[in-house]
Amino acid sequence: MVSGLAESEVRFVVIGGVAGVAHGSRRVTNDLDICYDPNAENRRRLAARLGRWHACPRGVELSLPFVLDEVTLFRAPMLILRTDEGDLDCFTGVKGVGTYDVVSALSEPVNVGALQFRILSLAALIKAKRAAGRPRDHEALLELEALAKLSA
Amino acid sequence: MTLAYACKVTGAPPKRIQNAFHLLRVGFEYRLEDVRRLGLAIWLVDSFVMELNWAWEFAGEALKSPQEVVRFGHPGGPVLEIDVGRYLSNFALACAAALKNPPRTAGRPSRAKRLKMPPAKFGIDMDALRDNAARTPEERLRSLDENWKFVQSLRP
Repeated sequence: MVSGLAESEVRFVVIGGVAGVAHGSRRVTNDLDICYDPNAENRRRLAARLGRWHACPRGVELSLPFVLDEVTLFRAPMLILRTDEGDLDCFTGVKGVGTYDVVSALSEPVNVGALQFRILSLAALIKAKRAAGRPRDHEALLELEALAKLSA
Repeated sequence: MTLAYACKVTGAPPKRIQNAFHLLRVGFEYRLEDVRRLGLAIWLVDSFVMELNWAWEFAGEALKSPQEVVRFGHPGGPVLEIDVGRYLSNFALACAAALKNPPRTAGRPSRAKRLKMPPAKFGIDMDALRDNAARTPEERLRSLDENWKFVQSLRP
């Protein structure tokens, strides 16, 4: 999924569980969370890629029409989607961290083979988990904090 | 759907939704179709300073043609255009977002006492974490990808 987004030249930063795994978390995650640049050109690229993956809202009945284009992306700051490639959550900002520009500034590059993309830094990921304050994040937060101590 | 979910997907405060359903004589069951219709009616009220009863009727008519841009008005006069397909798309996305991040339930918020515990006491295997931290991000992401592919292959 990350390679597909990179292929479409979408500007994004991987956040959430996958970023946690890249930093050393052992938690299994089955969706990809990204924070994307909400400018018009990037929205158009992301919408085109999501269209190719037949993206649709996750957990919602699909009997009604669903239009996924840059205008839909403009109006929805949070996209919770099911795609042909797997579950994908797209955000234009991260609670506790800030908008895409801040997220991008607090990200770091990761290489997987020839593919290079950016992930949210461990410190920013901890901030985001703290800000979310959801009970389900408690264990993930403990693990990330332990990782931060290990890498210090 | 509950009142809290209805608020999340329509973006309206609880009182407004309760008052609207009371005024429209719709039961307080928060059925999906009622909330969907009310969401569109609220948008019409806010955008065109329309009376709620009228907006409710327009919304009901518009939602009968979910694929279309619906037009109301007389030839030569002002025309009200509603892009129903787009409204339904945004509504579906709002529902998906509400399911992912459910509204807060009533009662005292949970105190994160567990956060004060050392990770090992919480059941986090520190040796395994240390071993994992010694691997490169590429190795960790590759094994996650393999797990992901396996889970995808099990999906119907």
